[in-house]
Amino acid sequence: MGETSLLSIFITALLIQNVALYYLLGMCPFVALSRSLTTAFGMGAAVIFVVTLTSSANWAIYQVLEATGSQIIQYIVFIIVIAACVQLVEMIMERFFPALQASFGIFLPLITVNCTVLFISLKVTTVDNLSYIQAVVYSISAAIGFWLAMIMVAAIYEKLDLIGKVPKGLQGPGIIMIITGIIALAFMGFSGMV
Amino acid sequence: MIDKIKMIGFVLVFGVFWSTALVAVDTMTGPRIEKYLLEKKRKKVLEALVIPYEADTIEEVFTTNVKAEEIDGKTIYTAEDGSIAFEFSGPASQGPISGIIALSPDKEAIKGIAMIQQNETPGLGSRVLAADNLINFRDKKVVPKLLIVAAGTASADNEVDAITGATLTSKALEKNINKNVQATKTLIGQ
Amino acid sequence: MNLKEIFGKKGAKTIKNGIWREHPISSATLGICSALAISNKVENAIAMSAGVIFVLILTAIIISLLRKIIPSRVRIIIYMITIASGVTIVDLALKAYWPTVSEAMGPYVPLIITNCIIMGRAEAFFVQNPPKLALIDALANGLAYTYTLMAIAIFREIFAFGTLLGVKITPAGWVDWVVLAAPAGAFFVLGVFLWITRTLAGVEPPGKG
Repeated sequence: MGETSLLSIFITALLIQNVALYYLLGMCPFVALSRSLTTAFGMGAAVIFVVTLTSSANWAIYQVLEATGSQIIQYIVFIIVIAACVQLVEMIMERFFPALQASFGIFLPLITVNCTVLFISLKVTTVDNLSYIQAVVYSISAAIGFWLAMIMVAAIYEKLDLIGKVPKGLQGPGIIMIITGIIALAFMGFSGMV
Repeated sequence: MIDKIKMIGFVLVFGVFWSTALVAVDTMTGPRIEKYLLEKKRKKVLEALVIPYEADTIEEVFTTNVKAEEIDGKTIYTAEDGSIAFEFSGPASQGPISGIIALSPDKEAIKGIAMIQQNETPGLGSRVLAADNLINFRDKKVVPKLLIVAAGTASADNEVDAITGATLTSKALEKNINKNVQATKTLIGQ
Repeated sequence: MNLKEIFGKKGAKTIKNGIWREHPISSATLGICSALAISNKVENAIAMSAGVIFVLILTAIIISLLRKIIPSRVRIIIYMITIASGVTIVDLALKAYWPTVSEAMGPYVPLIITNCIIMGRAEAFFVQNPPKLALIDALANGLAYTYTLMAIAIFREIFAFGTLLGVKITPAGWVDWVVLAAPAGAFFVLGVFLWITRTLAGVEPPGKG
């Protein structure tokens, strides 16, 4: 992806190869938290923040791993760095931004095992081998894409009662999946934009 | 204090144990993986150059028939009859695509195309890049430019039929081929 | 052949819970990340399931054997190192012995690390139980994961490609439901699957938000 411009990286990550709707990642928190707009909003914001931070850190660390030829421990190092970053963010928020901590602090521990975070770290290093600026742009756009997908699904879910009664077995995760499927189909229309 | 040291010590020992285990697994699997990747690349080059091979004679056939050289960072494979092959890549509708394209000795027509990587829509865009469709590109001229036209209307010898419903992928392929061929021809001074 | 007789009372309960009641995919909706992305071909589903089962077993044995000496405050890191190492081994093994599948699954193999099932069981079960029970739990959860993934993959491959493990089985004239091959299709199939299993298992719908 050497000659791709920053704008095309942004649009691709946001719309065409949306982390949730195309790569189908981050489904655990996606399903659990897409039931209300407020939680979707909070989770999305937390993801954007953590993803940008961790992928920048992991990008730098990967350069070191490559230079020393020790890529074999890449997965171990990445996941520990992610856990450490999340811990750090939690501590800083508790100390300096307690109000913020109260609103989306609970989502932070969930993010460590969120596939999206590890995926983006891996994508900007081994899969696509981007430069630093490209990596940062990609991380932010992918995270915003995730957030966008969550908000859309949450908004629809909240209004479902206006349309009719969802069958008992379908309530919760089942109907969330179907709504997400429809939105994913819609997003397929963005392909070819770049 | 002792507790903290014990904790950190435990993690370190554990980490070192596993890193060593992984290095061992890596040494065991490394050569196999490398051999596979090399063979894969060679297979694609042979496919594009339309040189027949058997599963176990890839290395033999490749080394006897093809010469690889690097010009300005780009690897050009030259076959005995003068045809050349090189990698082409670029964006398509669902992400980047890459493959090997071979040109005839006079560098004016396509000898063959072999795809390496593509993520196009299965059943639609993917069909454009499938081997049985790429056969249609053989002997088609790339001068002045390769053109992929509406299905059933190809007439000139630089025109190829598109697949209805797979316009984006067809257009992307056309653009990528023309661009890469132009760039490589300039590189090798033709 | 009563389950109780083979595995002992506790073992039987562990199995029943792992496979049906606390079914990771349906009632808890865990671990579906990787399930969706590669569930359009049965071959990939088999490889992914094998990988997950391998890591589950490895983690179960190691964590359970060491459970008395792992310092509590660093236990999560220990889980991470174990799981990440297991996944690295799976990744290398796939690249070396099953390269076409490895390429098809691409970046989804390392994502087994973030698969909630493995971490979840390590914390909830492996670290508190002896190796024999931990192994049974690992296998039960692994099997549950496998059958869900295979069900979705079989359905998607037959309807979207007309093949099963690459062998064409649909009659001539059948038009493939290509939408099921695209990621969006995975959502629909999983949604219906959840509907069926949750209704059958009598799981209560979640509360608001």
